[in-house]
Amino acid sequence: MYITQNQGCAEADTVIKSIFQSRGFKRFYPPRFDDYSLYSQNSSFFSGESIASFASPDGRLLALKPDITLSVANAIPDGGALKLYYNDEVCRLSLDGGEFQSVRQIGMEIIGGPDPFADAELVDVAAECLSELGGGWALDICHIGFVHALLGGLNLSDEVSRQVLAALHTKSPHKIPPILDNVGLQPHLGGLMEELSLLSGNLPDALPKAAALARCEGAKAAVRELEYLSFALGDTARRVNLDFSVIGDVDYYNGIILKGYVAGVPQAVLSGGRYDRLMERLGKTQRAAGFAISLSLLEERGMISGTSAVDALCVYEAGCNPSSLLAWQQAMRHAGKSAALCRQGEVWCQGRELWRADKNGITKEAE
Amino acid sequence: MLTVALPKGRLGDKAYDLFEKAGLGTPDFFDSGRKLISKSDKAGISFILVKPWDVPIYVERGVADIGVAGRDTILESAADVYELADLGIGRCRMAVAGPEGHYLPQGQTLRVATKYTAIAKSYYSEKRRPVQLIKLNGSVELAPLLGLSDLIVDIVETGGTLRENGLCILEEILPVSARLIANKAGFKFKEAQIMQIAQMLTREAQK
Repeated sequence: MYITQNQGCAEADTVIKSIFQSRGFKRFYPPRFDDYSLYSQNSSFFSGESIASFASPDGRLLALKPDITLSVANAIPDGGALKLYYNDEVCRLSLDGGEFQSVRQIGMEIIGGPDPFADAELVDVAAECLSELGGGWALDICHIGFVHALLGGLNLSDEVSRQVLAALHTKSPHKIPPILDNVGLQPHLGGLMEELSLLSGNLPDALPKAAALARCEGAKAAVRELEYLSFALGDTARRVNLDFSVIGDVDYYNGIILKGYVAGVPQAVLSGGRYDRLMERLGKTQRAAGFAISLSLLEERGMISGTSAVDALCVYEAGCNPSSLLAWQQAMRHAGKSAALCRQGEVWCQGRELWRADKNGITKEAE
Repeated sequence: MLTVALPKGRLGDKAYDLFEKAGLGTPDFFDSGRKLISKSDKAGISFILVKPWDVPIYVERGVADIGVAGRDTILESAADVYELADLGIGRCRMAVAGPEGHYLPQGQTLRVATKYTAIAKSYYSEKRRPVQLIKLNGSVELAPLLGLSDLIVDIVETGGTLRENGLCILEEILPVSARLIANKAGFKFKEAQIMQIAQMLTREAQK
């Protein structure tokens, strides 16, 4: 009963961090606070929800970050290439919109010149992170340029485009005919957008279907990018799904968009994509792509133990020899194990080995 | 086992009827009025009966894999779910209603009573009409009769209740019907099963 349900599953952030580090990504520490104007002036680049703010002693209005990518993109120097990761917190409204809450995220950004391989590396790292979290996982991608190209040539109003994108986002093919009927486009686009809303499958299988729907050069160019991506990923491409419902309601992605899921968590735990337009808006010359994983979501679902799991846990009763407790702990640590001591009735962590200490000594419990 | 959230009441009964006709019924669904969970291991399906307003929440949070909810409750809750099919049952309209011949001078703030504050706010925001929204939980038609509000935003079926109280539809906002919704993450792992059910229900609804 002292062993976590996820015995053998290391802390998710440790696992993900080691993936980033083993690929040469450098740790980046985003600023704790940003100028409020960074977010208020770029609200279309994130969900634009309320921002927690406060006044600094010198009278500036500062914000608790609601978005790390904006903060990173703003903080990094212009020019040059970077592959970085972060492990930080954002401050967002809760799902019911009632309170601000701190959300832990770990993520990575690839920043540099134009390089189609960067998307492939991004997707490959995302797939590895999801896979290493254990259990079932799914990674969806799409290319927002494909959809924008199809819609762009039709001179639709912003409102009609928004409605079509919303229908794609919710996999609602039944909504599309009435939207297009209202603007007299249903005969032209026929079942095109409905097919797009239902298109789903791993990259090698789904890309020919997407190619068949690419009726303009912009869409064909997006398909070529995805084909390059699929080729570069090799076998991993069969684990990545093409799915246009991952189109979100944020403006900062201009190329591929990713959403990752793990079994047992009812929301996407991974979210990201290419955000060159955001970089341009911030006056940076580099291009960029990245993703973030919500550690808070994983923690809620018990995929990160709320308290640390140690190698050896000793639960001691009143009356046991106190010097033997510290000696036991020292011996465990010399053996390379992490070891915690908890008083009977006040166990605050979990351990892979369970020891008990009483007046008769310290004994290890059978596994 | 696929878990389905159905709304208690008439809409839930109609929705269950579609499931049953599609061969996905459970043996004890109607056995006891108080039973909230009904399942069939053979069909691999479990129904949970919840308040209509709560269906999108149960689905969004993954407690239910899929659910049947009115378009009005989906929009009002802003739940982040897939809306896979229009089942065509529970048809009605979301409308602005008020006393016949109602007139309010431009520039004066409208007082609008409604259960659907998010939908009403969005509607009047698009019209750039300033309104004061008054949140009510039921019998919304009373509000303009007693001077609590000028107008109401509510769902309307036949319009009979409005007429009986001297009210009429002034503007139609959107058509409403029951939709099949799915948890986005759960969909990734049960796509084939969920899409098959969506197609079966759509076929039954079209008969």
